[in-house]
Amino acid sequence: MHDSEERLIQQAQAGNRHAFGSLMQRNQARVFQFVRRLCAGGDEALDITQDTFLKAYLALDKWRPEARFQTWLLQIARNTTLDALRRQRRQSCAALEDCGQLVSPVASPEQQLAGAQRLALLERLLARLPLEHREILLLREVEGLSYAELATTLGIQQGTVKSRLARAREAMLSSYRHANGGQLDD
Amino acid sequence: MTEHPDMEALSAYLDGESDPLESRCIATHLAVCPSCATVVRDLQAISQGLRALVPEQPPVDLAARVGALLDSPRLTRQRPARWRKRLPVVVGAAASVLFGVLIGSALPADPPASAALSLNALAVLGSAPPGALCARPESCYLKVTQK
Repeated sequence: MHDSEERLIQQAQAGNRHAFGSLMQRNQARVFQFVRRLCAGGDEALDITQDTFLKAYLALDKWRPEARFQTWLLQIARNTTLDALRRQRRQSCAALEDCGQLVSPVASPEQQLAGAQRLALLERLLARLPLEHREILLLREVEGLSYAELATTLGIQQGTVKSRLARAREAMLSSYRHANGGQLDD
Repeated sequence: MTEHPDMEALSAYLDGESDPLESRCIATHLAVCPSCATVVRDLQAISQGLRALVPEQPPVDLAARVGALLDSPRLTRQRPARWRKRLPVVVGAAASVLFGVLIGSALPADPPASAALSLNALAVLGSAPPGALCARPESCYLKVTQK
């Protein structure tokens, strides 16, 4: 963690709202995308992200430097999203087709087109996976959590992380190959 | 390694989470097994694709929205400093209750019989006569006068 981020967290813990605002600016895109992909979409994802940061602010005293702040935030985001899903009793979201900017703008236009199509396909396939597979893939592949962090965030043993991640990858690989006529075109 | 590693082993290998011996065995196997090598290559391609997803900024400034919500009095974060201020009051109240309970439990459950008797004996000293008789007969009974 950056020193400046740790300092911001300490200031926010002391009640400095400006410091918390800076932390939000740094992390809101990541949390918003995680929530949107995990489930909701549109205004719901926005509301869930907002609730996530409210809960984070109210629970700042519980944060400890042993945990990465981003991981801690994602854990709150995940729990808030699952609560919202349970309330709504649904596990799909409609807005994933509208993927916005999917690929890094540093690529050439042709690369961007091919890359965007491929990433749009990945997003769609990801959205069709069971929630359990989707969340572990998002946390590992997109957010880069370690196996230990995955275990903490998902509340499972590291052995379960290993097996669940393998099943999720197998499902994703199968869908991706099926969508591409049996092979990948990377 | 003669057997094909299963997906769990390949997945852990991809993440660098295999132990060194297993990792060497899988690497050796992948060098001679095109089928498993293809699986690993495809999994790597999917991982790279997912990592390339760019975080999109939310459509509104969430920091401002959350800031406004935090200004509402219902969402004031309870901070340790306030607890520290309230701690003496809480401890004092708890001590008072505990002291009361201790005193109450130290009292005998039933008063001794002699105490009840002495209280009954003292009743004669009260303003009302024993037996609930009228204290002033002239005020209790009509006085019949002969004319």
